[in-house]
Amino acid sequence: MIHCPNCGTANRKGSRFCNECGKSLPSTGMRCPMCDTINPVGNVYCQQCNARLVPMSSGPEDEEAEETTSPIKGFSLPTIPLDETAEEEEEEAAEPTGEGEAPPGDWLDDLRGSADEQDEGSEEGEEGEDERAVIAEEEDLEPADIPDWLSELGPVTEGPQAPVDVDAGPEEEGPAPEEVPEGDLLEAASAEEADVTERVPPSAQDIGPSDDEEAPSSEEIRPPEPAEIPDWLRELGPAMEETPSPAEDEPPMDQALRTEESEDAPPQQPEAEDRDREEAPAWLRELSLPDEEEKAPRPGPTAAEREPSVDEAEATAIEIPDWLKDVEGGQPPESPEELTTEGDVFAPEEPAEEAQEEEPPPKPVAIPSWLKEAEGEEAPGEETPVPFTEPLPEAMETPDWLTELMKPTPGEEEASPFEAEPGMGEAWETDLERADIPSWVQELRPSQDKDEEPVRGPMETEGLLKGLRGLIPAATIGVPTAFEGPSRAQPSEASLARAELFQSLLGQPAIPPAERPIPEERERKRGFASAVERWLVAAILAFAVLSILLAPVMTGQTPRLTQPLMTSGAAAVRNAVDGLDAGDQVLVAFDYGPPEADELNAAARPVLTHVLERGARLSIVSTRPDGSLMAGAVMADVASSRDQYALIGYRPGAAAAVSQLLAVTDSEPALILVLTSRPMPLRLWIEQAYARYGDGLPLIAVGSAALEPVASPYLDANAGQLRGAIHGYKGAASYEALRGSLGSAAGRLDALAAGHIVIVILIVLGALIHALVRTEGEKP
Amino acid sequence: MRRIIRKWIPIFIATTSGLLALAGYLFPDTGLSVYRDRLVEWAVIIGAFALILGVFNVLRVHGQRILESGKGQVYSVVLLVAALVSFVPPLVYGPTDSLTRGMVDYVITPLGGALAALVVFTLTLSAVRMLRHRRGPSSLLFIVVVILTLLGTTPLRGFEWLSEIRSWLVGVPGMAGVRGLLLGVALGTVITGIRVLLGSERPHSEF
Amino acid sequence: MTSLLSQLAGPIIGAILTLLVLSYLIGDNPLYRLALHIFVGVLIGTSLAIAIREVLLGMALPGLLSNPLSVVVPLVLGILLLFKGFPEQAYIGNFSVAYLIGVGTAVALGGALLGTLAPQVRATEEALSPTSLSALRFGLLDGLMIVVGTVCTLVTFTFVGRDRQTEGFTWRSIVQGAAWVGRLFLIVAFGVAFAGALTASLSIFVGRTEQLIDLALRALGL
Repeated sequence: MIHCPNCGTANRKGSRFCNECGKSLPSTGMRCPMCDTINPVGNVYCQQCNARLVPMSSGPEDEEAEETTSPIKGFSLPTIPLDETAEEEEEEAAEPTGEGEAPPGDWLDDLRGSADEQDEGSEEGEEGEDERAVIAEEEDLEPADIPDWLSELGPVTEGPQAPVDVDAGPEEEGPAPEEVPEGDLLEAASAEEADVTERVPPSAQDIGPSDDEEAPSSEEIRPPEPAEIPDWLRELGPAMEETPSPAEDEPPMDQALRTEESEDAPPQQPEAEDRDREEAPAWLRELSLPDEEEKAPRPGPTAAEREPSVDEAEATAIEIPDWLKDVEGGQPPESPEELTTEGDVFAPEEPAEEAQEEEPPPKPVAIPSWLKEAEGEEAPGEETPVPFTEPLPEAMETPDWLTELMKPTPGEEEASPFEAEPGMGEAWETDLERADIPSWVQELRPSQDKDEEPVRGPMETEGLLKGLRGLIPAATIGVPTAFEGPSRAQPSEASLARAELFQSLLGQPAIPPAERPIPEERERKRGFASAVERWLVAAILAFAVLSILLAPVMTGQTPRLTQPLMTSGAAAVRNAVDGLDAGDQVLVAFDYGPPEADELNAAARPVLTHVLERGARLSIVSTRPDGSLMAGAVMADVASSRDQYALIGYRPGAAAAVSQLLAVTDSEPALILVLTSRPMPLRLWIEQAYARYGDGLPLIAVGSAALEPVASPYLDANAGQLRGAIHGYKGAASYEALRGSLGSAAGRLDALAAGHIVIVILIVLGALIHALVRTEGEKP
Repeated sequence: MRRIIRKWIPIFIATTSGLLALAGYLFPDTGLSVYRDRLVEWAVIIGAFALILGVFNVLRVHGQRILESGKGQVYSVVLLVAALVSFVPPLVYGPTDSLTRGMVDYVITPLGGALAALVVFTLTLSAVRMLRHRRGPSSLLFIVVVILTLLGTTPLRGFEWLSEIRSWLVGVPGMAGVRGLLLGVALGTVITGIRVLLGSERPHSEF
Repeated sequence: MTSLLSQLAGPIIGAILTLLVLSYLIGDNPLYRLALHIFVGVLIGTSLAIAIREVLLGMALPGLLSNPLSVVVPLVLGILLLFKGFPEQAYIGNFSVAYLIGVGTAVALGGALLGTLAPQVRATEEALSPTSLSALRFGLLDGLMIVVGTVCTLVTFTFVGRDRQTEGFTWRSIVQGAAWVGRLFLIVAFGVAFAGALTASLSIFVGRTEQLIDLALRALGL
């Protein structure tokens, strides 16, 4: 995770900007655009898929490097970025060196040096297996990892060029050190494809034409020792024979094998040449056959060998043999003398980096005869590469990899990337066998024929094939048989009708539920039914009450549905009031209002009357504003004089008011009478009175019928908080009965009973109806 | 400073006054009951101002409705006129005056009584429709208890046993249920009261 | 006649107002709304008058005259409370509200502790005493029912609704069983209360009806 330096938010590795604040994140890795793999910042190519990470147009250095590493058209090998060690060595090699002094930092020299330590003087052997050994990177090479063929090269201690095989052709002047990317050559050789690495094509340095006139004298060029020349390279020896080098006796291979040399390179020693010749393998000796053999068609360069036409400034590209550069796009050499080998792969004195840095003008290379023939077909001055048309001699032992690449396949000639290049197609067709280019590689080659229709197909937008068209055709998913469409059976008319109805419903505009009007009829029915039910209940109930109340008037007789019943609560209240003495202070709380007056007045009047009859002094209080009004109205009817009671009045605040009212009297009251229809005032009075006075102060209550369940816990003898209570008309009637004077409460009791009976009947009927019959819209 | 005024001072007032009043309840013999009574008296006076504030709020709402000519303007006029008319007699003559009594007997009591009488029809209809909306053993038990209680409320001749059944229902299972309710309410009151006195709940503060 | 009218004027007005309210049985109508607004207006007016007369004039004024220091604090707090009617200055009334809440809470707490919890718990304990059992109709059965019902009802309100998954199966089963029993007792209690409310309202209806009949009879000279 990458933490943003601005806000500290953790971002995914490879993110460029913070997801939270948008600030740019420090680059700790480069994400591959193809496979999204995080690569180190210095990588040019992805470690996973080898896609290019650094843009092509990122800078002159990159361009230069790109040019130098530009692959053969249609095919390229991944370029491994040069490491510092290689760069240092190349830089050192670019520096002018003294005679006989090996350029510093040459990786090949190091290899040879280490190899010499081990196998100095060992004869080279035609070890094909060693040739095919994967060449590790320079920095990873250890003495034990150095292939045998490389180790056989021996130490390179002098001159820019390594000793070449004695059978090599005329010595050639190696190109300027800076033009010879030796490291690039070997790096090109070491790649993912082992085959390619095994068959490191000889660079132009190796098999390129050399001009004897241009080539340094044999004294100057010291061909590599026979033991140092790998077999694969030796196999390319016939190519060297055809080079019109001044030293025609010297096979081109030898010329190619000659180390690069500067003009100041020390001359080669002919004695060394003779020695080399004697020690050279057979194939290499064959390279020094007469010229007739040189005229044998030489197999064209492999795909790896071929390099796109580049300018001479790009001659130092790692994949492009120098000879091929000159053949393809470079300016034709002015003179054979100017042609020089552009370096030898075994020229440790010519590091590629040095060549790139200094960028000396390319030196002319000796044009071989075959090349001249190709040039003759070209217009002068055209920068056209001349293919390598001369076939190899039959007797020449060609490496297998080269043979395979040279196998012409059908259509390859047309698809050859070099067809488009003028002057080359015919030469290829006549003289050279088509290389066995895979078809998929050929397809990647952009067609330069304007008339030819480009490959069409959907462009790949993801993955490794991003940007390519028609590479992998999209698979046509066959429709399963189950979804192949509707059955062929003819639908029925009912199905068609339902389908048409459904379609018509879908075509209708949707009506929001809120706007959808409820059917008036249904709403009217529902409202009418509810109203009828309500009227019916009211009518029945009113009739029952009215009949009982009007019975004495209508019939002259008073119905007796009920009988006076002596309740325990009424008795307790009577007992509590009977315990009062004259002058005792009774605190009466009028906590009910006019709405409950009809019920409570009937119960309060007999009790108040009784209390007044006992001679007690009443202190009228209330926690409701209308209670004070009721107190005034009731006491005016009950009390005979105003002196019998003191109207203290209303106190707001619920519990605080009760507490304050309990303390308002000068002395502790003898009895507290609470007149209320609601549970809360009763509870507050009981709590505050008990909290202040304990169970020593009797408290009685007169309440409505709804208060009876609430008062029952306080009426419990064990609690002892409420001495007695009467509720509603029944309690009032009981108290009146105990007092021996019937009042209005007894008369209303029958009506109350009738009402109760009617209500019970209605409840039973309603329960039966609704339990057995489900109404419309009711859920089961 | 704003936070001190709007948060901490009200908390201090509530906590201090409450703890002092509670001490008067818990330690009545130590003389703290005097402070309790004084604090309660002040609360009653402040409560009167709260009632005045509520009344004026109602009058302001209806007054705005009259001025804005909104819906129910006539009713708001009637309300304000009735309030103004009924304000004078009790204030001037007191609750025992005949004018005040007449207003109570012939205006407030009939209106209030009639409103309370309408409840019987609503309760009856709800009892009739109970099994329509909810069917189950609990509903059935509820209906049975209501029926037995109603029939036993009035001592019907020949059905004295109904009264005994009702007495048992009210005195034993009913009382047990109500006692549990009372205990639960009392526990909630104690817990809430402690939280308010300790400042955990601040219904009086903005913070 | 005049005295009859004066005697009947009040009842007539009362009867008219009663019928206006009872017209709601037919349906919501303007007459019912008119009667309702009259009732609220009269109630507001009388309440304000009583509060001023009996609290401010009957309680605060005498104290202000006799001992101003005894009532200056509540008067100031009361005036500050009036600022609650103004939204921008409502915070000024928070001091008065805080005082009311503090004192009211203490009073309610003391009453609940001393007036309900202690005596009711003691009463529940003594429900199984011989004295109590002798007073009950079914003796021990009633006593057990009282104790079990009280505890189970309390359990229902206290523990029902909580998801106590961390508790053991046994304890959870006991609690659920007790809650179920408590719900039965609550159903009985609510049924009794419903019947009582119905009786109370019916009583008021009977009283109102009786008043109307009495007025009618008097008007008819019966």
